[in-house]
Amino acid sequence: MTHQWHDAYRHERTPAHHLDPRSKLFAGLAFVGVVLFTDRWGMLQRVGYPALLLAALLLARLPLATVAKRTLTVLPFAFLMLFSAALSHLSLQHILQALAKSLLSVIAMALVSMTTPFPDLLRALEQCRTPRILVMFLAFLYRYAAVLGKETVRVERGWSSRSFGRFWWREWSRLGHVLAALLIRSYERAERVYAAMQSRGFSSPMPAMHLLHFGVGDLAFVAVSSGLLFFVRWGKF
Amino acid sequence: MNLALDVRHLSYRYPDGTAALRNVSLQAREGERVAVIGPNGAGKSTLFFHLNGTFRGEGEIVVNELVLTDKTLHDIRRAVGLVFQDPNDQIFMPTVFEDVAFGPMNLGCSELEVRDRVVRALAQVEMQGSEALVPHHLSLGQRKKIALAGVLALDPSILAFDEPSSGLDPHSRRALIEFLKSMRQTILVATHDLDLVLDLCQRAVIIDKGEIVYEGHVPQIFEQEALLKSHGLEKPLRMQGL
Repeated sequence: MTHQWHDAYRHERTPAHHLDPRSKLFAGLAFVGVVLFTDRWGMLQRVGYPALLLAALLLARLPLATVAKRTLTVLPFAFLMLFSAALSHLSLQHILQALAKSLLSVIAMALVSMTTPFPDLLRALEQCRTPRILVMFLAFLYRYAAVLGKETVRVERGWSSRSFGRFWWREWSRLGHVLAALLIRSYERAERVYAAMQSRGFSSPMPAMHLLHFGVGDLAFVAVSSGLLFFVRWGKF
Repeated sequence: MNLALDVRHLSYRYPDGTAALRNVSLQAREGERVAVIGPNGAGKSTLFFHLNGTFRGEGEIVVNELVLTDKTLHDIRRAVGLVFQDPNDQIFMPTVFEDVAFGPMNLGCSELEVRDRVVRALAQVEMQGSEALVPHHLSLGQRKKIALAGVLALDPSILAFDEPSSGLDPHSRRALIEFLKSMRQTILVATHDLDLVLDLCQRAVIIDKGEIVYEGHVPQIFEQEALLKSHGLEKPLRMQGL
């Protein structure tokens, strides 16, 4: 099992990949904010928002199918939304609008995450004054999700090698033991990691370095994307 | 030569009451390479965690004539570099650069010096150009190198390795031995790999049930088969004439 799926496409060499992560984060969040607070959807908004995303997609040279797959994550929430909307007094137009907003937002953030190595995103969050504890939490999650994933695979293999064809769902009660074992292993690892941090002089707060560079190209990107977004939201067609 | 490390009458109990170390005394001279060998659960790793004050037991630890206290903890952590058995425990930052830079940044080095130390440490372990890589894309051997680079970046005078050769293929193991031989620092190695001890160390101590039961020179210590056997060890394969 490999754990490189979440890093796929992040190291391509396109204009979008070369941008400073802060400019992409700003543009992505601005897009999400503007889309969410658009209450009336005219023709310009209906065409303009997807067109902006399509332009970004072309700039990043990402495969459409892969981005589409990422947007599937919104489906469970969309179904939940549709279900709750069906029980409320919302019109079909409102429901579709909410669905479109969530889809566009997810695609925008997928584009940001697929064109930026995760460590760079963390640095961007840090330099945008996101609380340090949250950035550290995300950094450890990123680093150890793969390690925990591998341990889960090992436990699963151990399970399958001695389950003699019995399906896990028939033995669901024993899954609790597996999860408990993983939790204890993770806890013990956390203690060792903390010891490793201490042995390299860690006290607090966590030290940080400025490794990003916001250049003229980033400024131009932010200006152009903000201008286009402004035009689509408030422009007249 | 001066003593680089002097552990005097060290005892330690885990919070559950288990006695992990009992009256352990151990010395290492500057530039000496000492092996700490013993069966599983003998207390080797626990002893190593004491060397830089990660664990604090009863007794005294002197590093480069500096007694370990709260006041000297910072200097002693700078002087003693611990390399853990599992590099996943030691490499916790999202990229190689940030991980190797972690120690120097905690030391309060300037950004320029941090970058310089990172470049030098990565060059020492032959991992130049890996700065932007993320740890979960590296092989075990590469991760071990990065873990070592993270410690070398602190420029320690004592290096303590916990099972350095575990999980390495023969080629990587040989490269590690040659690398360790080339180092000028005082080196302590906790290991079951007695062939590595034979190649690398001048002296070995046997630890069992938290006590140092024997101390001697390499390879003479490996002549005592009964002693080795009684503490869950055996002669290095190369000395068995297989």
